[in-house]
Amino acid sequence: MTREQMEALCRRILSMSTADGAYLYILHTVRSVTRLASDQVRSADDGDTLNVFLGASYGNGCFLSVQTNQVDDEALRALVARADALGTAAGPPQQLLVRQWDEQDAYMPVQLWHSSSVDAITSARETVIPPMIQTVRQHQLQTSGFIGIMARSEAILTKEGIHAFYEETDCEVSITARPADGTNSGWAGAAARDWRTLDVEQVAAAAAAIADRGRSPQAVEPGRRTAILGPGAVVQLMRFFALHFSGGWADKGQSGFSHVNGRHISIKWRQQLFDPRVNVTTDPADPDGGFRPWFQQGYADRPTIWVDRGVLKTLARGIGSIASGKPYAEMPFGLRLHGGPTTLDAMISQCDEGIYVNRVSGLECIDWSSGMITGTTRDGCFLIKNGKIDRSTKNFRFLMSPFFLLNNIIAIGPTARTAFGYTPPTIQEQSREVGDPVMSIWDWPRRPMIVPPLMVRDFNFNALSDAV
Amino acid sequence: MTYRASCPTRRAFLAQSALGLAGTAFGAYSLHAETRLLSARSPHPVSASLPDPIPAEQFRAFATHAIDAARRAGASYADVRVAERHVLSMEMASADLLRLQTTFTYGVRAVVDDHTGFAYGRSPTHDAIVVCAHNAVRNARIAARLSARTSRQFPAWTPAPPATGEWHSPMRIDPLAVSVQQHFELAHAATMAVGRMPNTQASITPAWLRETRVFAATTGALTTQYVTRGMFDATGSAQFGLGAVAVQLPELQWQSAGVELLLPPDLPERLRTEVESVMPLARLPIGSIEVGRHPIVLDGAMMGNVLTTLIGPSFELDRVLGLEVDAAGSSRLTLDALGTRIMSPLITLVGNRTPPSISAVQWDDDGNVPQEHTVVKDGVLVDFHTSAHTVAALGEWYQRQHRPLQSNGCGVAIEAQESVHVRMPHVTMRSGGRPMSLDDLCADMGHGILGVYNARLTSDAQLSSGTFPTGTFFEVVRGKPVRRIAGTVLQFSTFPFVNHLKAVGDASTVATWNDMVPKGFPWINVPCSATAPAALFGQIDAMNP
Repeated sequence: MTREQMEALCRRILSMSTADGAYLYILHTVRSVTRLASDQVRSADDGDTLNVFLGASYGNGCFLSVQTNQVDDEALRALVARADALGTAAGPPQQLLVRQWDEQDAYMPVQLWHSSSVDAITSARETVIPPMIQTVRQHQLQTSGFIGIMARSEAILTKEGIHAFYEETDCEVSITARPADGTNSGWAGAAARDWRTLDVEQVAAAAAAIADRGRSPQAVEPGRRTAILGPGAVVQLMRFFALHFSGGWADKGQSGFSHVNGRHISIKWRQQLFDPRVNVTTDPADPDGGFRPWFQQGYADRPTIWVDRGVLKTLARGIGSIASGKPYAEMPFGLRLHGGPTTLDAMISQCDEGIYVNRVSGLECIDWSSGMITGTTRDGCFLIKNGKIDRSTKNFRFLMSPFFLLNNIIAIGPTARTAFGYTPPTIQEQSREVGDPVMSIWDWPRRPMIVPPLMVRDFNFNALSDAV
Repeated sequence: MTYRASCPTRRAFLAQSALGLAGTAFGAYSLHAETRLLSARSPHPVSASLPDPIPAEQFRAFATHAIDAARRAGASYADVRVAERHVLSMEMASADLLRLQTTFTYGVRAVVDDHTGFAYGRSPTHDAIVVCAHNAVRNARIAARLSARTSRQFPAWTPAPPATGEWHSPMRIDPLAVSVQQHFELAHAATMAVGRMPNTQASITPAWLRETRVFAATTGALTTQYVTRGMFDATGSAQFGLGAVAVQLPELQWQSAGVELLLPPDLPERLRTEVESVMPLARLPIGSIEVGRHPIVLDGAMMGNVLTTLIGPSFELDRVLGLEVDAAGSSRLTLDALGTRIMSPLITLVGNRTPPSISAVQWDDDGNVPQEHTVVKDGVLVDFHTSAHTVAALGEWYQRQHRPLQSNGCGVAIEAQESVHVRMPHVTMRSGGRPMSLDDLCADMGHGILGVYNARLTSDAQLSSGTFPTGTFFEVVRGKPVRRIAGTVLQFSTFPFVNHLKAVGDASTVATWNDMVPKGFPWINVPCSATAPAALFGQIDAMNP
């Protein structure tokens, strides 16, 4: 829905409401997902969903919300009547937990809607899938993967005239190439707001090249080694790093940014925690990603520096912190880990001996105070010797903390928006919510992350993994 | 499909019943104690906050409309799931907040030339579901056209025998008929009973699901299922400054049942007794264990965790066939392994979707009646969890076994708007035939590790390994737990681990584990469960991070 359509719908509903205070939240999503397995289209799904939430407060202090997915007059009248009936029949006054709408926040202008992506929802399947499969098949490999395209618009409007609107498109391609016997695999992915910027054949070629090179993997002794982490690996590690910026958890000592000394817990402000080349920011208008410039009930989200030259600058505080005079900030689910000049090829050429890791999965945080994570490599793991890829290796299980990793950087590469592929949120991610995880990490697509490849020393590959 | 708003001039389907209207009633409550009491005093039943129930005939007419549209559009087969669900959850940690969420969703699947297309929606109008059906057929055509250029084919579609009828999951007391006040009283009772004991705590946080789901197919199938599920979190724990040791009541697991689960008057007392039973473990000093390989005893709950997280999903046939490679992952098992020994002969695993398990249904989301099926018999692989989309891959094996080619009924779309995937049913591991308590297993082990109840378990995309990054583990010396292990990660390779099973506990050690397991793309969590006895394994790797 366009801004005008949404605002007109909001005004229609608000004109019917007799509540003392009321706000409307409208979410319209169109999504197309095509999944492939073994060169076949496993499923092709389409969906178009609309939700209208009416929040209303009444003189007796009751606040409630009702919801509908119909927008004809009859259904909207029923919606408002339902709210009125529940609201006036409610019990004694209750303290409101909703925002008191006293002023309109100013939002950053963002341009995250691309008509090319909207067009691709209906047209992309037939145009990109055949060449994608063909590209992989040239290597005697089979294609599995998905193409997901989404268009979403949201609006908030209150009886007092406060309004917020946002629209975005997003696209992601994920391709796993495997030989028919399934003995190894290669993965590549790409994600973008604008479908035209995705080169699906190039993604397919990259996945196939990794799988091709990864045939007949051999076991290599685990241990602490130099690692070159592709963006697909870095983005998964940063997913967990982002969780440490929860101010509430840091206050409890449950973050790598906490310093716990007996019963005294402090935050590691003004300390050189990471390599000085490490900078972490979020920006709703980030040209490679970007995200909604407001969250929850219309609070503005602004550019934020989280780590500046290796020093912690900001922790995420919920809107509840406003009462105590502290600034709020949404969790950095859409962070940018700033890059450097060293390309992946240059990293490999300057590596005497190390492991190239294309992607990791199965991540779980073991210890929040140190940030220690366990996980496994997958879809492309290679031994590097004397500046060249020597051979394909079996996968490893690893133990690594992002706090250790970002302190052991040898080289940083150029950044790019990086695809997540299949990455459902862990329970840990869901528990560290500040802001709106439903729209950020719970569902596909996740909020964009922009990361570089990294070359690091002493990465702890602690065991071999049997998994392909 | 065009990108536009749902048409505002469409005539509402079932407008008189306000279908599609959903409420998050009872509002947002204060964090203050006095208002918590106010919220808990509401004498009205939860159902008073809902629109009038929709007659099932109207759901069925709606579903049939979609099937007719798909057939006319050229589908060789089509089915539809239409569901209205109410989820009632209570948030008790920081506030007494009762949340009631209602959703109405549907999904249409069409088959053209053995390829499926799927479309979903929420708008409860005839026009909308017809568009949805047409989109499903169009998507199936595209899938068939694109796949025709490749040689490899998926297993042929195996439709379910047409079934008609209604089914109610067992439930004596409807959670929607219970007053808000009573919901809170029941939840608080156990908490308070255990909370009076020093160094202990307990909580019951109820969540209920009530769903009406209609399934219709071009085969003539038309079924209606009324499902009630309790998915509450009920735990008690003891703690003496070293981290809690938690337990749960066996009967308070996620299951298909109503509020009667919480009504036995001795429930708080039994939870209290369970908590008392782990107090000796909670009092043990903390320490570390030598890095290396150790034997380990897992109690029934942790063995259930291994089955739910690693073993059960390994038998999902879409994983085995590589259909989930780029998403949830694959499996170490292959069709070639059928008839061979894959784990210890002490292990027999049976899948079922009968009450009271959380996955209980009369018909799965392909329309098949779920069959109790043994996947592993005395360590030998004999079957997989199957669906209408995958079972044909077992045609040759079933023929040799003189079995009809029919799905085991493991097709699941946990919400009607989700596409159907193979999901593990409730898996039961047979307990040992001779008396063997948890203490006996520890005594048999002598030196090693004991793991009880609470542990996270992670794996890789092929479910080939498991890691316990945290949990309640104890070092056992001369058959007795002597210290709690901290700072140690436990890892194992899945099938070698279960191949080194040394002994199985008796019925007294049996427990059930529940977890939400993601699958599909976009991913969706599905409640999965397994029941298992305690078990002694030969080796697990202890590592110091």
